[in-house]
Order: sequence, then structure tokens, then C-alpha cells
Amino acid sequence: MNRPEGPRVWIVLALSLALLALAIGVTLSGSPAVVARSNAVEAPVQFETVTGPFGACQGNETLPAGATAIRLSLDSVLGPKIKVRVLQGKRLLTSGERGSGWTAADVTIPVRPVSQTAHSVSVCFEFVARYESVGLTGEQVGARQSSARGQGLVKVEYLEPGERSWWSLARTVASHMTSGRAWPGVWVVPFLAATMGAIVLCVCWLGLRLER
Amino acid sequence: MSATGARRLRGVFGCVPKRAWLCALVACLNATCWSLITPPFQVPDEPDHYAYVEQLALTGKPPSSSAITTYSSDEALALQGLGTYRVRLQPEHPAVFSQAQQEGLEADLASAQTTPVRATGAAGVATGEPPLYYALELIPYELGAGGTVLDRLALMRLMSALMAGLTALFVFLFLRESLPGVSWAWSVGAMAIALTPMLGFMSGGVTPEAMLYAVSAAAFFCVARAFRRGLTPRRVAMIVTVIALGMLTKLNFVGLLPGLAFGVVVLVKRRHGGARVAACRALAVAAAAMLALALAALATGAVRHSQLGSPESSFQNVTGHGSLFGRVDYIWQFFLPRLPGMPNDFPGIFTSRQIWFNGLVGLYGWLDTTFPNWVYVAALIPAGALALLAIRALFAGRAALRSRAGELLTYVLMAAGLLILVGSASYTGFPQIAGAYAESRYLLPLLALMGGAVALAARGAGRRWGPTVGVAILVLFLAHDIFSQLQVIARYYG
Repeated sequence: MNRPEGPRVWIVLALSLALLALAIGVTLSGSPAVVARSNAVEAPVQFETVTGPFGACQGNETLPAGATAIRLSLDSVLGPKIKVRVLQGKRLLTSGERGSGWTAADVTIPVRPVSQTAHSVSVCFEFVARYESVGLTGEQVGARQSSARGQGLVKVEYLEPGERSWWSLARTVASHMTSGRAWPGVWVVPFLAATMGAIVLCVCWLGLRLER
Repeated sequence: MSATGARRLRGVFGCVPKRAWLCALVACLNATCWSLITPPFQVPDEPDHYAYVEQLALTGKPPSSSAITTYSSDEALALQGLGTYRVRLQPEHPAVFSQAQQEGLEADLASAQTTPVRATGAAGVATGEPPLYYALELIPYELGAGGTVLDRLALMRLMSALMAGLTALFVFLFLRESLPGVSWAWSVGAMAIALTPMLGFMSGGVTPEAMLYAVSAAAFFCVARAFRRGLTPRRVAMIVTVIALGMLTKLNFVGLLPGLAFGVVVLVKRRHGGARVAACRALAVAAAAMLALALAALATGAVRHSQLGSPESSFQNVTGHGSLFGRVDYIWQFFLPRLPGMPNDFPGIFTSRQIWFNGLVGLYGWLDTTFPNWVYVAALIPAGALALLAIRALFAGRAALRSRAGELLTYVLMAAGLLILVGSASYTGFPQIAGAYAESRYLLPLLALMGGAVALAARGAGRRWGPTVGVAILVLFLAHDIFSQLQVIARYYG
């Protein structure tokens, strides 16, 4: 029995590959986030591990104009939901939150950018870690006057979109990929491109034969 | 090899369709790409797995200590030169790429080459694992003996990449046996698995999980074949061999055993008269052979008792603490939404989605490389569409499902056994830590079933739209793979 005539597979394949190429192009035209400013904690150490409800404010921070995210040096395997507020006095300048379930030694929380750099602000963050502990990384208190709950200063970085797109950074990224590996050299990127190209060809070959 | 042997071998490989080989090739190539993209020792526990192989190469014996900071001098120097602990878990720190860093690394590696390497007997968390994967990794290790630690690691990663190919091959063969009738859907399911970024990432590193995925897929294939074609002494031998390989690869394979045992019982009950006697006899012989091999391995020291049940190995110490109900509650919530009346072991976390779904969508490196949050939300749309199509296919084939209840129950038990094992291991740390082992890589021994779900989704689109939807699914998985690789490149080299 013949299969009923459906839309031509090659048209769908071509369209979806074109869509994929477009998505890659659009993604690479975006800029990676860069650190606009940080509270300059040198040689950060984990100074406290907390469980349960936690909240702290760090004063004397500077929120740069255009910062789209705040990166806090908090360490967790299954991190809790975190809320961040940036206050100037009692005035809320910006805020953001990150859902639970993150894993890393730092967590990035998107915030609404402000138009002007604000000095002497307080960065307040709060979370409830019922079972999973959260490590606070930064500087022991003593070197600085402000602190998270009086025991240390959490490292804070303010991120903003970089000025250069991924496209313009492509050559730099490619040169970075040649180091820190076995047989370092320029062969890596062309080899990867050729291998991925071969994979795409295999997928196309198979896709075009699904109707047969 | 005799002409008969060669003919037989050609017969065995000849009956594997070209498309299955293509899926295997793609999985291999994909894992190779991942092995180049992921910086050395940035696959979970890779320093420990490398240390295990080095220990085997230097002494001929498996490691005996789980001390995690005691690596041999050459590995320790490489880890230092690469800044592994600075990069690990800290996404703001890229991999080595400056000229000064590269020169420092080369100096470290050169110094390591001139220093005699002494075995430390330690392999961290890998210490309690069985030796088969590590023994196979001795081949590339020895091939790279004249090179640096990084040269050896790169060659060893290629061995893992080959295992990704085997995984995709067995997934294809599993689909051919379990979903007969619509042959194009096998290609869709197996190719989707070949392009799964988490398979590429894990199989692009030195870890026994790469082999575990292949052996687990082989186990599903063997059971499906026996259900479709009947249990014969030869198929019994195949199943038992795969079980032995799995047990010698990684102890997580234990999770599949209850389901496999159930499947064999169902298969034996289906046989009658002489065929049943022959199957039972084969089972008895195979069981005796396995027991004898296990005893011989223990007696000769090839496998130590510690590797069959050491407290160091996190996945073995699953008896743990707490009440049975507490354990059941925890394991349930580890994977599924909490039911009314259960205490909340994961407050504020929807585990099914935030741990397992998001993990499969993208969580690379030492769990420190993620997509932006919106990607995980957007991924719900294609995943939901695939799930609906798969359910549609199951509904359409419900009559066939009833007649294959025993086979389906076998797959369900295999999956449930693995999930219970992972959940039990996680429970050992609770309540100090909720969510230990909450990593989607532990689900990948079920890749055959995931391939089945994808193939069903393609079939669920109907006879007219099926191949078209199949192509769209393939490009979707290809896109997932490419964007995952770009994310990892951005994290380490951006």
C-alpha cells in the first residue's frame, strides 16, 4: 500500500536548516556579557556556609549604568531561589531574581539596567536554603567595613553586554581554542568545522531517505 | 581467521543496516567534537578516571585509596598548569588560552615528562568502580605513552567517542526490534540519540559512563530481540554476556538488573516443551559461568572485594539511613512532583523540570555551563510537542501494547530500577544535602527508551506527515547539539 503523499521532505529539510542557520547567525550577532565592575575582592575564599533563611546587604557598592546582571559568589549544588535588590538609601534602584536549581560557585541574576551609575549603594540578597547549603565566597571581614551579615564580603560583579558581537570575536575565540590541549595548534577549529559539516551532511542524507 | 569465520563475521555485520552505521558514525563524530571542545579534565570526575587508568598502567592493579587530592606527579602538574580547579565550577574563569598560560602549561608538562611517575594508589571517586572500561582505556593510554598527559587524555577520549557510536548503533537495533513495521522511525530515533549533546559531552570525556551507555543500550537491544524472536540458548548467552559486561563497567548497571531478570522470567514462561528446557539449561550454565568468573576474578585479585561493594563508591552505599517511607518519599520527589501527604524534601524546586528536564536540555562542564534561563522555558514547547505525538502513537497502537504488556513492563522495571538506584544514592546524603547526584547524565543508560520515545513521536505524526516531522525532529536535535557546543565554547574560550 502506498503512503499518502505528504509535504516534500526536502522542502522541510531545507527550510529547517535555513531556520537553524538564521538562528545561529542571530545568536552570534549578540554580544557576550562582560564584567563592567566588581567590588574587587582579591583572592576570594569561602568564609561561611549557610542553611535556612538568609539575607544580607553589602554597602559601599557601585552599580554601573547599563548593568544587566549581578553575579554573586555563592556556591551550591542545588541552589535556592535568590532575590537581589540594589538600594540607594531606601530607594530601590533595581532588582532581580534567579529561580532555584542552579549549580556553580557563582550565580548570575538578571536585573533591570539603570541609566546612570549609582555610587554608595547597598546590594541586598536573600534566599531560603532549607536543606542545601550555600557557600558565601569573598573576603573575610576586617579588610573592609561592609559585610554580609557581619562575617565577610561576598564577591559581587556587575555584568553588561559587551561592545563586540560574537562574530567580531570569532577570530579571538578560535585562537583561544588552540591552547590548553593536546597537540595545540590552529588545526582545531577547521577540524571541528569539517566534522560538524560532515555530521550535517549525514543528517541530510538520512533525512532525505526517510520517505523511501 | 578462517574463511568460515570471516563469512560469519560478514554475516553478522552485514545484517546491520547502513543507516544504523550512519547513526553510529554521527555519534562518534559528535563525541569527537565534544572531546575537542571540552577542555581537559572539565568532564565530571575526569581527573579521577584518568588516575584510575594511570594506576592500572603503572601497577597492573586497580587503585585502592579514594583520596581525592593524591594524584600522580604528572597528572597533578597537568591539573595545575591547566588551572583546573580555578576553571571548574566558576564560569567566569575561562580555560587556558593566553600565551603565558600556554607556556606555563608546556613547562609543567615537560617537567612531568622528565620526572618518573609513581602510582599513588588513589583515584578519588573512581576507586570503587569495576575495571573493564579502565582496562580498555589502557590501549590509548599506552599508544600515547611517549606524549604528555594531555596527549594520552585526548586519545583516551577518542576511545569513549567510539563507545558513543556503539550506543547509537544499539539504540537503532533496539528500535528495529521493538518498533517493527515503520523502518524510517528507527533512523529518526537513533539519529536523535546520536545527536544528543549530553551523550556527546559525556562520551567526549574519559568516564566509564560512556561505556555504560553503550552496554545499557545493548541490554535493551538483547531483551527486545528475545521478546520479538523468542528466547534461545544463544540469546540467553547474549543477555548474560551483556549483564557481565555491564557489571564490570559501572555499578549503576545494577539498576537495570531487576528489569532484566523479570524479562528473562517472562521470556522463559513463554517457551514451551523442549525450547523452555533448553533456555533454562542455558540460563543455568550462564549463571554458573558468571559466578565462576566472578569468583576467579576475586581470587586472582583482578577485581577486589572493595570494587563490588566499597563504602567509597557512592553508588554502592545505598542502604543508608532513615525510614523506608522517608526513603520512598524522597526518591519519588527526586524525580516526580510531590504527592499530597508527603513531606516536602525539595522546597521551592520542581525536580522533574529543574533538575532532570533542564539537565537534559543543557548542563555541561562540572555542572557550571548552562544556557540562559529562557532557553529552558522555550525548550518546553518542542519537548511537549514530542511528548504529545508519542502519546498519540501509543494510543493508536494500544491494541498492540496490550499484547506486549510483559515486554513493556520489563522496560518500565529496567528504568524504574535505575531511577531507584540513583534516588537511593542521593538519599544517603539527605537531609544534610538534598539533591546529591541530581545530574541528568545518570539517566543516559535509558537512551534506548529515549530513542524509542522520539521514534514514537515521529510515528505519532501519522503516515502522511511522519517523515516530514521526522526530518524536523532531526534538525531540532542537530540545533540542540550545535547550540550546546556553542555555549560550551563561549564559556571556556569566550
